[in-house]
Amino acid sequence: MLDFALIGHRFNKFTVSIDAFRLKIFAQAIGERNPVYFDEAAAKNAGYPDILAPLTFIYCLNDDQPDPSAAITLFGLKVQHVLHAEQEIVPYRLLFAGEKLTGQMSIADAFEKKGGQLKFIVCDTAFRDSSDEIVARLVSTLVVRDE
Amino acid sequence: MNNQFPEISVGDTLPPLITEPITRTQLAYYMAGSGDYFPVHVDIDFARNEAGLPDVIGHGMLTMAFVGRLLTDWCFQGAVKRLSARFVQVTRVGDVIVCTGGVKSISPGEDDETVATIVLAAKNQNDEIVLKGEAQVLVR
Repeated sequence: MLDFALIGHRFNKFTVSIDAFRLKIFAQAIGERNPVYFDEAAAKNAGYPDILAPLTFIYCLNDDQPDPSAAITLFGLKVQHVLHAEQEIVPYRLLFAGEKLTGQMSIADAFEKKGGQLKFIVCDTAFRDSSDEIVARLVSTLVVRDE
Repeated sequence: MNNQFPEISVGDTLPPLITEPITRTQLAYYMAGSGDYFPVHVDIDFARNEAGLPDVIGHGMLTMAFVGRLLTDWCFQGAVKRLSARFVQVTRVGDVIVCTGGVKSISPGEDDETVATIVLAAKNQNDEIVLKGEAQVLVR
């Protein structure tokens, strides 16, 4: 049985930075050929302050927190049994190489289906910039199958 | 790249995005770029011995990134207010992923905005759905 009292639990804030080198590797990995996503000169020519982070890149920064499995271990579950079921990304603005952000994750929800055989944990992470403005929100739904 | 909000109608379809076959090298690059170092995505020995799988599997978020490209090839990235996805089936080395999108509805949002809801899907070369999703895009 999931401990539903953990809903609302907030983890410690963490800081991340958007690294140009990493954006280049990420663009290559996802087959993105638009140079604004990996070339600084092209990004600036297009009117951006620096290399543009692709739409889903912000998710990667959530895994940069000191303990990315914290939500799983909080519920006493095992990482090997976890599947990423759903993901929601809410961008508030575009993000660029060189930015430093602060993230904070909380447990938004937890529920069970099939008499507890399937356990769902919903994590909500908000990212803020150096002006403390929210720049993105991630809502991740993880499913754990009872072994 | 369009630096403006799209002019669209309900029923419009986005130009499909068709990937090259997924390669092991690509999964290695995705591991490095994403920071998701779970070995099941690059280490066939781990996949077989620890995860009970015949081979490595692609990251669900890699498929979501393909869907992200589908959107940003079609409209200004700044117009995308929300992107959500449900991971239906794993992807494998050699899979060709076809991402499609269609404009389901256009309705008023907050603050005088008009928002289009785009229904999204990604299928593999066997026409099996690997991802289903939705996006909200500003049109004005």
